[in-house]
Amino acid sequence: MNTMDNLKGKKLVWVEDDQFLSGIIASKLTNHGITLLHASTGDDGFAMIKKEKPDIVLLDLLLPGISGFDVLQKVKEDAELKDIPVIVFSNLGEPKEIKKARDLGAKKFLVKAAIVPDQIIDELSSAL
Amino acid sequence: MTQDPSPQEQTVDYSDIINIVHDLQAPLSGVKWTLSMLQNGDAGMLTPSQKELVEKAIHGNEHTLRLVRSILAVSRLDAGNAELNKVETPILDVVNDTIDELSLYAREKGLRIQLKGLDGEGPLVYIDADKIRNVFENLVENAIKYTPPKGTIAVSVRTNDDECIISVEDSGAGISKDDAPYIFKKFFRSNDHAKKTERGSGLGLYISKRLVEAHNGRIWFADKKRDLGLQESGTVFAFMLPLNHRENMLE
Repeated sequence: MNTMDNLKGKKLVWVEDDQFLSGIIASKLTNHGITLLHASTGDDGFAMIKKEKPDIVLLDLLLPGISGFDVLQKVKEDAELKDIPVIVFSNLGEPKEIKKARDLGAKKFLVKAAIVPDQIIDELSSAL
Repeated sequence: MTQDPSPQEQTVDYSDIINIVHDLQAPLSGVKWTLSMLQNGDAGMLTPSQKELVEKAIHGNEHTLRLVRSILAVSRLDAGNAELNKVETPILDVVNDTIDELSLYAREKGLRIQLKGLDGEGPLVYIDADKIRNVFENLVENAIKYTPPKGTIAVSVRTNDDECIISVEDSGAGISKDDAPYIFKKFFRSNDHAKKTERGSGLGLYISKRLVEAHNGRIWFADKKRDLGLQESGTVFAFMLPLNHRENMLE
């Protein structure tokens, strides 16, 4: 078990259209003291980031409405939001997609199928 | 590669299938996360037999995920837009991780996996580690599948000036003369009765060959009796990865 104290009281926006996936880890995140806010489309995700100004964002790429890349670009172009670390969290993972996300300012690119919940916690903790 | 698609292949929209295969990754990821949380005691401590069942489920799920990723990789190779995510990787990391993961599966069959050859760190190879790991896993999994209980599987890693050669030797029945020309063909399944009873997609070795060749490597096999003149039966599968980094980076 992880004891990642720097997660306590932090606000996370997770933009993910697959409720099954975010539902699995929701309890784990809240157990670490994180406030989890969930958005299931790109548009809702950006609106939520703009309104809530979270400490960190987990961002899927294939989303209904505007894509995760678009959300990332809008966040990084917004003076108020550009310093919020964004971790791209997708099952895309080809070099060109990773490069595009990096170029747009993503802090990290994680492939869903390649990691487990404890690693997600670790990654959030080290990105904060 | 044959140029004429069979009638059956013509009726299937390839890109739709690839999209479905891509979408399989989401539920498989969810199962992976759930099993990991169960394994780590997030839902309470498990009894040893519960733990063992969870480990088996994890193994099966990981295998399916790798198969999905390999199918996607080969579909991109077939479409001519494959990208390999090549980085300098210690080959022994790939080899040791795979052996660790598959030894549970081997032990269940009463098989041992021995690692021979290199001492120390071994060479750095310029590879897409996920893909090469998939190749190596396919070879070891086949060896486990086709070796009778109490047998031995020997893995060796050797290098010379410009190549790294990884081989997997089993003490199974070997490969018949009839099967030999088709071993790396897509969807090939042996007609030998004993091998027919094993599950398989007929894709593993085809995918392996495509992935190794995408790294400018080669893959081959030898039947121990027929090709190597040995007394005992079995097969040696091996693949070579070039160590000449500069050449690799230029293409």
